[in-house]
Amino acid sequence: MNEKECDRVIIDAAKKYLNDHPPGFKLFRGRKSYTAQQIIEALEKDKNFKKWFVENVLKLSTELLLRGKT
Amino acid sequence: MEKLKGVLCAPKFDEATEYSYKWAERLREQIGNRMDIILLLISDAVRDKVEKALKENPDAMLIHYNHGEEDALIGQDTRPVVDLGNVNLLRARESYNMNCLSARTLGKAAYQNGCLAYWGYTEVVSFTSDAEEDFCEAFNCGLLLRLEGKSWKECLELTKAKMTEIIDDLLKRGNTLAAMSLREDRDSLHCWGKDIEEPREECPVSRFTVFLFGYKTLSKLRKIRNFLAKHPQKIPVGYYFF
Repeated sequence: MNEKECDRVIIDAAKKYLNDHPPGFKLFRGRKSYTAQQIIEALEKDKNFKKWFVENVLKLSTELLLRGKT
Repeated sequence: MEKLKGVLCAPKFDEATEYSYKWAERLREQIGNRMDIILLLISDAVRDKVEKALKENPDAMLIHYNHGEEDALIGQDTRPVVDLGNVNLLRARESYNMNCLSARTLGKAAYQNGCLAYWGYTEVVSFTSDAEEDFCEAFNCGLLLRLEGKSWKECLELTKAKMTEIIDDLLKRGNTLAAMSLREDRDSLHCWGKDIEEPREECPVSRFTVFLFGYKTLSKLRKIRNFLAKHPQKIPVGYYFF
């Protein structure tokens, strides 16, 4: 799996995860805010947002993988 | 420990600052009578009033809850209440900040100018509305620990540990997006203070720039980069030849 395919897997999973979020839900990032639908759109259209999102999914996953190891 | 004094600056002018304002109010309740607080809320949270309060109370901690930039704390009129132009006001006092980015340049400059401790975030702060109480707990934790008499170094370590606990709890509740945001906030939380290691620039180019030219140059270059990213039509034509 190359990097692009890996990003796609994460984005598809994120879409599934976000689809059933309540309408009032918002993600705030500095001065910007995103509803679940806007996150889904930004993942497809906004290169910087996509990079931030994928990077942070990977960082959290890596942390969980290494939990308990020093 | 002597009773601390604080100047609480909390504007409210957009959706994000409605949350930061709410967290500042909760912080006030949590502090109770353990600290004498001068309130600069909403329309009072502007540069003149902040400068006046700090000058009249040289021993007061500055507490700022709102938007921030690498080199500025933002006020109600969306202009800086503290920036590199009046950073000397933070000399010989502590500063507790719940805002984006300001621990990068302003925090460093404040500490180098004699600020006793500067608490803040080196990256853009993110949070989700469905876990706002968890984020509030994480963001207010450091100051409450300080009021228990802990050193800033201990406050930083304990707050990061608390944030990790909250992240685990969010994951157990299936709130992955909040956990992901708080993990980033935790890693960008820094306190410029005694016996605390400086944060390391992740990007090697940034590290090299800081090493050669210092933080001010890096900050200026980042501002130019951000401006050009927002206004690509203003990129000089020559840029495309390289």
